[in-house]
Amino acid sequence: MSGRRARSARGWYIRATALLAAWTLLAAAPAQVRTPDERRATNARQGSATGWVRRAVDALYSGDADEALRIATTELAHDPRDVRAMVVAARARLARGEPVDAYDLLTRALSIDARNADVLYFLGIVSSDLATKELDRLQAIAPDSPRVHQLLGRSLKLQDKRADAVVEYELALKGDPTLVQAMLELADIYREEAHCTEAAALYRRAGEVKATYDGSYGLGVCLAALGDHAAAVEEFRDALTRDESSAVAYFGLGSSLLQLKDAAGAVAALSRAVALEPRMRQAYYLLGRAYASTGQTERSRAALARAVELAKAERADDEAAFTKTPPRRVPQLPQERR
Amino acid sequence: MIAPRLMPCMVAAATIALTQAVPPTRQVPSAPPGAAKGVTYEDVTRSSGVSRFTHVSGTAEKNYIIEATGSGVALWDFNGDGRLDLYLVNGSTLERLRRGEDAPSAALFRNNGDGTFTDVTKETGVANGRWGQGVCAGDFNNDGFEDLYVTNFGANRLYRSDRGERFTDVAVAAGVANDSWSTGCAFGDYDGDGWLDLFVAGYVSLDLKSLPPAPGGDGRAGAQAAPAAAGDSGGQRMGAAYAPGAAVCTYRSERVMCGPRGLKGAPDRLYRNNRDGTFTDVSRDAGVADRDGLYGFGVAWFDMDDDGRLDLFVANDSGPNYLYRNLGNGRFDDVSYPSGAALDAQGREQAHMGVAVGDYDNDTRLDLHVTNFANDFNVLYHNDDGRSFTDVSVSAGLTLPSMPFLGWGTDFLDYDNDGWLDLLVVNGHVYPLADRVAWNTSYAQRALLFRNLGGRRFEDIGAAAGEALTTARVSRGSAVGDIDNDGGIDIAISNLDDRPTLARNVGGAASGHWLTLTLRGDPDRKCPRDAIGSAVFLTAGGIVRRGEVASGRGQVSQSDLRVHFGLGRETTVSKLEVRWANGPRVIYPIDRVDTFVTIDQATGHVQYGGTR
Repeated sequence: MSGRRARSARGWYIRATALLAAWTLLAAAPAQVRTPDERRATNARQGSATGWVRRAVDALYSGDADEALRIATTELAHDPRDVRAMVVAARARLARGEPVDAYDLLTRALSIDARNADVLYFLGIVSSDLATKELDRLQAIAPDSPRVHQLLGRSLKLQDKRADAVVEYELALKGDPTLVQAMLELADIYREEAHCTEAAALYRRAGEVKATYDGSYGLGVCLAALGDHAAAVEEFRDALTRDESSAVAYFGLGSSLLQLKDAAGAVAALSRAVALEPRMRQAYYLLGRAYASTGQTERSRAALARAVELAKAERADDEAAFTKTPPRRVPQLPQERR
Repeated sequence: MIAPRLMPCMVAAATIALTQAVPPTRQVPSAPPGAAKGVTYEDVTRSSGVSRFTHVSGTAEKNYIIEATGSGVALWDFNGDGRLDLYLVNGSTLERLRRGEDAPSAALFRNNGDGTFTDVTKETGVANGRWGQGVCAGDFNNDGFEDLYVTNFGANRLYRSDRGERFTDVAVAAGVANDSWSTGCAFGDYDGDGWLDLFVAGYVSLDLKSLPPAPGGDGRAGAQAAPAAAGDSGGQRMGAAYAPGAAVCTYRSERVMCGPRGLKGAPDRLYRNNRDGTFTDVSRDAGVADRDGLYGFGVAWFDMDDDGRLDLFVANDSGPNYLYRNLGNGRFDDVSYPSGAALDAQGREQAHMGVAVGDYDNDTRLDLHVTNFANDFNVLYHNDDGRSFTDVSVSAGLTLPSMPFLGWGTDFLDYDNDGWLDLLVVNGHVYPLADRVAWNTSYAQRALLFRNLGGRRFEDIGAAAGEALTTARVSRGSAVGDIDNDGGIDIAISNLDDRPTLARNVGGAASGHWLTLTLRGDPDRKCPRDAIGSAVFLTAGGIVRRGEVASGRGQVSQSDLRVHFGLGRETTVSKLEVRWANGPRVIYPIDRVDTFVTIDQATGHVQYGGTR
């Protein structure tokens, strides 16, 4: 393991522990909404709605994970579907160095309450912990494998540890300068961090080894961000030859054509984008702008109205998320491919 | 096309950039060759005496959004002596609010004319004593003295000037107290009757008894009340979204304060001046009542289509901007989306903060610059034809330099008097956590001063701006104006939980010729006394430059009401035309430069010299 990775792993453990401690007070709050009957039943059983949670958390605080696990297990015996008890038990398992058991508990909890923040949060921690452990084991087997460095980079990127991810990708490319996927993933990081010139160079280098949709699309986005829309159009078109069902590539194409004052071309591309992805409000917005440029006022008005409608629905979804209905999100642009 | 041999170097540079300890928001690039020679900013905060003021805004942890928005600043001549005075809005703490205590005092510093200021807050009666947000100036009663409106988390203040000596808060009697959470404000005569009306942006409807959860899980208020649920903005370009009942809000997987997205927006208000010291809320009738419940920040009245009527722009945090076109019948048409000024070039909603208005390319139309969250760029909207705006941020060179910064105050100013409006952006993150995680940014951030390269591109002048601007601070409001009346444009900045910054322009007056105008409107001709809403078109060297008398703008702040023009090498003004608010265009003879000129609409008199 590289020194930086080792530091990162230690940092992760420390951070996870700190977050664990910070989370304890929140866990004292009701972890899920119950019916009044359920709440009354629970209260009658324990004397107070949160008494056992406090005792368990106190035990965790004092380093007595066994006691915390015992309390949570007792609760689960009373109510096998008690998500709070599962979370506390998972935390205790984690503290005892049993991440796999913690993972099992949390996935079970998630199947009961798919939007529980505590569950999702600790599942994230446990998953990262497990991933790190597995990757460390993999690296021990193949310490200089570029592919392992790439996988480590991907894992770190998913944890939003971009600086560490960059180091791993660089190590991967040092070992194998033709590792296309590492180049593309590193380029994606640069692009998302606004280092578009560098990202573009990497996309090009990847394209020289092997032309891919991801490379062409990423390069198109970067070139557009750098203001070279003519070159961006070429890349988006190339991306579409590799995947003609990509709504975001049509969106990128339409956007760049609009910048180049080719409103008719933009209308065609953006119409295709919204046909493929009817909830892409950004495409409707640009389509409205493109129609306006071609003097098609009514169509412009309709497209803009649709963009406004989708934006409002998205805001409403955000507010309803985790409480009412499942969120209906339009794709994130331009990073994600559809 | 990138030369292949350079590619490894560039990638290495990017690797260094992403893995280095010092984020770009704290680094000061060396001065580029294009920076104006000999022009910089000197930090005169201490020597001027304004460092006695310290802004207060909640706790250092910033557990709640009210603690992070900061306050505005005004450069405005309250006593009519021809010198810009300084008003600094102050915040407060939740503890003070809960105990029912007054907020820490705002501060009014009188300009002594010798580089120093005297605190006259008590004797003038403008302490505010509430959790202050924004400020704007305007002579709402046309008595010849500038009044002040201060927005608050809580009821706002309308400080009526009593002959420039004292102020009386008449907000309740005038009907403009608006006990909510107000941010940006601006006076402007939208109905053309010669009396200033008032627009006030609403931010969030925040109930102190039911606060969203704090990142620290401190067990108080909302944290205990909230059932477990989570909201994640899902992106890095806006603050952490809140879902009703959420127990946690996250940004880039870290727990942070919630909002504004997901919180209930506070409505915007338009108050029509009744010409008797009172106002009427006409927001709904006029069609500017914030129908989508968005989070308003920066506000600007400006005549986008030069039809002689003031249109209205509202920068909304975490949502599309509003642009309302004045129909002239007391109503506005919402042209936000069709105009192109609601979203960026990709159709994305952004977390808009402050707004600057100015004609950066000298085509006589007013353009807009809007600041945004970190991991996003500030947007420059070019006014194409009075109806349509184009996001030209990329071609103007403003996207990549602004990405790591979280921008707030922004102002167009000609810092080197070369005749092209430059651009100031003051910055600072909302999450103190930014210093403890690898986000490639920081909590305190340096200001950005972009030099205008001939109306097409802007260039960050880096170290040439001077330590007053390159020192990293958690800045919010900014205002520009000629504080020392030397012909160079100075800068005042409000910093969160910190002393303000007073940055004196050094060398600007010598770098290029200039002319500064004070306009005196004639209410009998339907122009407000302080001429707010009037536009000036100055022709020199074959180029027409445009300036305006404007209230509010920036990030909830007030800049100099005088109209300043940099003239570069031009020593002759071939034409000076004033389009008085609600009145005709009138040409006035100007026979000298590097001076102050006062033009009186009623008498037609042009007075040189002095400072007003």
